[in-house]
Amino acid sequence: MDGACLELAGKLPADGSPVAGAEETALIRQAQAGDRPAFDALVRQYDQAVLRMVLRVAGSPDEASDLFQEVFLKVYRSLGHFRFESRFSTWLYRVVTNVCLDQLRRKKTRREVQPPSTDDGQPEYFHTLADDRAALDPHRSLRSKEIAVRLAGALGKLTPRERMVFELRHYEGLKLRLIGQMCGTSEETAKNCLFRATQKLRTELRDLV
Amino acid sequence: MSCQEVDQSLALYIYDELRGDERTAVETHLASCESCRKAMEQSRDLMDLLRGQPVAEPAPDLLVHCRQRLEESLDREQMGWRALVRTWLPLAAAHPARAATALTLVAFGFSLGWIVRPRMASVLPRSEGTPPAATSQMTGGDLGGARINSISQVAPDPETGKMQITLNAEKRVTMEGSLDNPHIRDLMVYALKSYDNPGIRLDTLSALGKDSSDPTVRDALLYALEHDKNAGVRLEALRTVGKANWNNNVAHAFLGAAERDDNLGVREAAIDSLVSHVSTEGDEDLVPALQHLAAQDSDRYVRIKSIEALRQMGQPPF
Repeated sequence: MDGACLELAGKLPADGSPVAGAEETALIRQAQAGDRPAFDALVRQYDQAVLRMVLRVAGSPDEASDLFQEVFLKVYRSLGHFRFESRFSTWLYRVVTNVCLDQLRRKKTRREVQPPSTDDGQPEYFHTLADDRAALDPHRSLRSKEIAVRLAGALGKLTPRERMVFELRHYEGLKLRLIGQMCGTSEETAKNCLFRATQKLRTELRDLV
Repeated sequence: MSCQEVDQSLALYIYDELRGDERTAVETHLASCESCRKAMEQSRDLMDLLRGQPVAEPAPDLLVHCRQRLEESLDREQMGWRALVRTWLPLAAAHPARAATALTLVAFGFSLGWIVRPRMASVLPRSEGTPPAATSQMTGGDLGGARINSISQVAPDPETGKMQITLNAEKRVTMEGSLDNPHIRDLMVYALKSYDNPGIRLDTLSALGKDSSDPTVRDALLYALEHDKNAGVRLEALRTVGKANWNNNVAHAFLGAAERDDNLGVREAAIDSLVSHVSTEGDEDLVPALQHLAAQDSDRYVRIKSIEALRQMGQPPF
């Protein structure tokens, strides 16, 4: 598991490099004892990465903000149960995965996921992103926008579990073994989910390639 | 390995999730099967297309907003019943007799408080209605409801027989007033420049922005743009200052942000504002700096926008 966890840690934001193991352990123990500044410091190590993940499954910044709150309040309430049997990052991302899965399931029961779009057809939440690199290359800008809209639509057609497995493998770069643990399932099921997800994306986006 | 098995393995092959022998079997099949090779190329093209899409980072102001909301939620959580249960339940389980005694004492305290409440109300100083004063000198033992943080000295004066108590007390003070009020403005400028909480700084900045023509306020906004450690606050400062009248200081601050800010979002917003400014005002003092950005900036967007601004001014890009 460690190798996979290290890969996960590597996905943390560059300016918030993961604290060293001993330092993080000390922070967790202080936070478990009710030390709020220690908990805040722990949150700051991971909050940007968590926000990036929830923003990907959320339909809007407001929804992402709600999910962000849900994740860290759950972490705050259950940190006392963390027994250092896995890395803290793995435990935290399991919480993130569960919150995202619940949200995707809630959405599925309401309607198909259709990201809200603006006049130019761009999904609304992309406008909240500082690093909108589509704008950096004017020649690619239009095509990039089209792909973003089509991709959002195609991702919305995946089942919640397929979507999470794809997000975690493709965007977060996690190994399927770890993803299986995070989703509370086996590596084999995660493999099947990834296969079905890529099949569906291939079908939906075949005219773009 | 059959074509169907290969098809099911393509994604795992591309994501490097196959074992060595499975990988070899796929490669052997692909070497001799054109239709599977085609399917593999399609899958690779799709992955390349997706990888070519921007990996967007959350906007700094969204992160600031989320952090602020979380702080408030955690404050409520700490004061709520969950915290009480979390703290006391394990203790009560470990020491049931002590817990029962503590509960009885608490109940007794509440009852006693209720009984003596009417009499105490008549002797306690009335703080409501009195004007708040953050720096008032408290004498004669009237702390005006302030909370004592620490007592550093208790010294009797042998000549007068009076006691001198030095303490550190704090009191929640609410001040009201318009931005014209210098006390209000000074407090807000202080909060913007020095207060730890980025959410408070952001709120202060938005409120101050309504009067960004005032020189003191504009200086504070420029200070936030140049020195605030939070990118969301710097971005908001940039937007707010941009609405005010331009002068040399504003132009320099924007150029500084476009050239040096750590956050690409802030840099791009700064260059957008500069381009918008020169397109209407044609400020020639900015030409050398824009030429420098156009020629040497590491960010392509900044280079393109600088060239665009220079073209609008009829200046050579380099």
